[in-house]
Amino acid sequence: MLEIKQLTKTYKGGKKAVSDLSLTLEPGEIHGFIGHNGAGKTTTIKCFCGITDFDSGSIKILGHDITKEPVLCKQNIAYIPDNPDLYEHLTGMQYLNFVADIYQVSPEKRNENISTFAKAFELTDSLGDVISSYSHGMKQKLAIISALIHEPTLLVLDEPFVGLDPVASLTLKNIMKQMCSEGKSVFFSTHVLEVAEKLCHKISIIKNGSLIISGKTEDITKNTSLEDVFMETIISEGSSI
Amino acid sequence: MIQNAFSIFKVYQSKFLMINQLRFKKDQQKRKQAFFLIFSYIFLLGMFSFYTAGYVYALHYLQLSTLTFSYLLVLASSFCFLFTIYQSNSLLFLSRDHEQLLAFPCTISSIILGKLLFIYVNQLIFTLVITLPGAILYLILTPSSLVSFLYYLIALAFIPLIPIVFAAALGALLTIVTSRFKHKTLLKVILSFAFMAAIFAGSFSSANLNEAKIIELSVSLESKIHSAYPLATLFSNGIQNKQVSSLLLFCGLSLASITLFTLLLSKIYLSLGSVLSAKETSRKYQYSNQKKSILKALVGKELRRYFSSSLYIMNTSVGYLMTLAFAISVPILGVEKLEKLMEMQGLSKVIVLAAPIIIASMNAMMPSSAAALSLEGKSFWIVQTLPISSKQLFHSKILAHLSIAVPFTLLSSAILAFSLEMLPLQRLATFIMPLCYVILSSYIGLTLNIKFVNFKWENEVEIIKQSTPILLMLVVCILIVAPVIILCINFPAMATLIQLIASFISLMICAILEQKNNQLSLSKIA
Repeated sequence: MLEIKQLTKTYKGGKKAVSDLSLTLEPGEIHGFIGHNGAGKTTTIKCFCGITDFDSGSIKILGHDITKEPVLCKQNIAYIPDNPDLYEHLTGMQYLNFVADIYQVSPEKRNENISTFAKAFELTDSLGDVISSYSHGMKQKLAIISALIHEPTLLVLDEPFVGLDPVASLTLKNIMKQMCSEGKSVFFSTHVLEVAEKLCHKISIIKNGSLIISGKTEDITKNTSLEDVFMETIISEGSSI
Repeated sequence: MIQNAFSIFKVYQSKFLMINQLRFKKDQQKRKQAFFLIFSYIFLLGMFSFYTAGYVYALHYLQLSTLTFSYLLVLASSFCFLFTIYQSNSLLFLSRDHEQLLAFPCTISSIILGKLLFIYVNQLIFTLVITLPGAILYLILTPSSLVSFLYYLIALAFIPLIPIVFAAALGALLTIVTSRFKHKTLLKVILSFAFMAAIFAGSFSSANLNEAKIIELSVSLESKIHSAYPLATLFSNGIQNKQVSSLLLFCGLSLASITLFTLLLSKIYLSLGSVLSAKETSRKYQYSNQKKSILKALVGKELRRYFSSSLYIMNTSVGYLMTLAFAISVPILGVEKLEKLMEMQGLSKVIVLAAPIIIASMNAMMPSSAAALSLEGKSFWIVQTLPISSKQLFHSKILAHLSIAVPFTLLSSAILAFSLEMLPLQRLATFIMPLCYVILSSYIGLTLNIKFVNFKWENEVEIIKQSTPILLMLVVCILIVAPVIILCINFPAMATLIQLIASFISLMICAILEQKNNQLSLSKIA
């Protein structure tokens, strides 16, 4: 589904954000990506979503190279950022229709998906309002709906649970599980270790741009909690946090 | 209070001048951007100050030197007024840091004062640059006026205050009035244009005077300036006639107006902010029953963005409207009447030859594509993650611009082409050159925007009015039109051919830019 090999990204000032990072994501897998602030989580995600270019390494989505076939890769993925800045001048419905048009979703399919997900996230009544009148949580919900509208094979989320109410969080978790049962994959970054531990099949821990641990959740946690593993890893590595 | 206001001012000023970007970011792109921004400002302000100095010289030549300081005051005040009215609302009430500032333990007056101080300092700099060369020239031409010149230097600091107060108050009032209507953006654009047209009409009525008439009517011209801006009387008496009491009264009134405005505004700032930032909510929406093509969806998004901002519409469409107004005036008034009105013999011949250049230069001045990419702002991640190519995105921005510019251009061309007596080739050039130049300016605007893109803005004024691509576009527009004008003046018999060749060259440049821009990956734009 997703194959990252020796990804390295350096910012213009010379700071290395991601260093030699390799990672794979299989179909039907929920993959949690954790690390402290500034560890390189968002940069990694932005690299394989085609938002940021990178210095070296390769990223393949469903066998397609993100640098060579970006449009083909993007047709299969959906990305939701941690702080969704949407088109404030559009109404919720206009935005969803815009995204559906870009993915060339048929009117029947888009209307069915909009109706289902808007109801699930309790946003139906606000779809006629301009996005600038939305709260942070409502924008987050709209971004999630727009990401699901074309039924992506790979869903990528950056801190998806920040700003969501408990009902919406549960709805999102159920959608993730549903996608996995259909053979699709979910990759998300989070600071909520309990959620990652319960939800993810695999977990990767990143620190200062390098992958420290990556593997099945039960293999990583064994008889302890993910929180303990995370703290031990960060401290034992002589953390600079 | 003063300290807090000064702190707010410092933050705004450092962002405006990109001080921290230059000091702490080792980003060559940002440095280049700052360089071009400064270059554009110097170029445009240089042109303004050159024009002012020329006007001051003309007044001296016509023995109307007594009008110099009144003229400088009106010019600087108009400048401050027009620039403030564009940005005051967004800066005072709708900036992204609005709520953050209100949460700080400082008085509302200090927040307002900090923001007004930012507007004031920048307008003062512009006032200084634009009018000082003219004032120095006046001193050189009239050496006995040293005291007047020194008085002028003192009064200079107070000139922007009253225009700022009026512009900020009027800007807020326009927004409050229009906020009650459904199509508020459109209404705001119409009211603003009506207001500007009134100013333009006023200045045009005084520009029709020839040398003899000006001398004859020098007294009425002075009274016209003074009636248009009553403070000019105080200013003129204070500086020209060296009446200290008038000068002090001018300075005092300016200071009092800004103080009173700050105090009054602080009383209603919170409620006014709520009115201005209020968003209309509607529960009505319809499910779509059609699937648009990708390009159509992207163009639709661009046009919705365009029509959501009155500032964006006004900044880009002023050229089209002015050209259209000029084109309409030709058949309505008739060339002969225009000749008499403007007192220009042979105007009809000039218009026939210059029509393509006039439309081309006015309509190519401010393409929306020069700001369209930056205006994606923090939402740029959306197009970056959507399955679209850079070519599709760039085409949508160019097409959105052309869908607005081309109808205006063709209409102006058609009116002039069929209301003036022209040869078939001249008629063709009246359509071809403006059209090609509109396309060219669209491509150049987009290319400049790609080169100097800025997604990290707090306020759309920064992009629509003050950004590097917008300012450079003005410079570029002069550079692409000037050679054609020079050649046409020197070889009038070949004017049409020159215009058609220029059109062909402009299309060639478009083809080169099209190829160059489309090679760019969306992930490399930042």
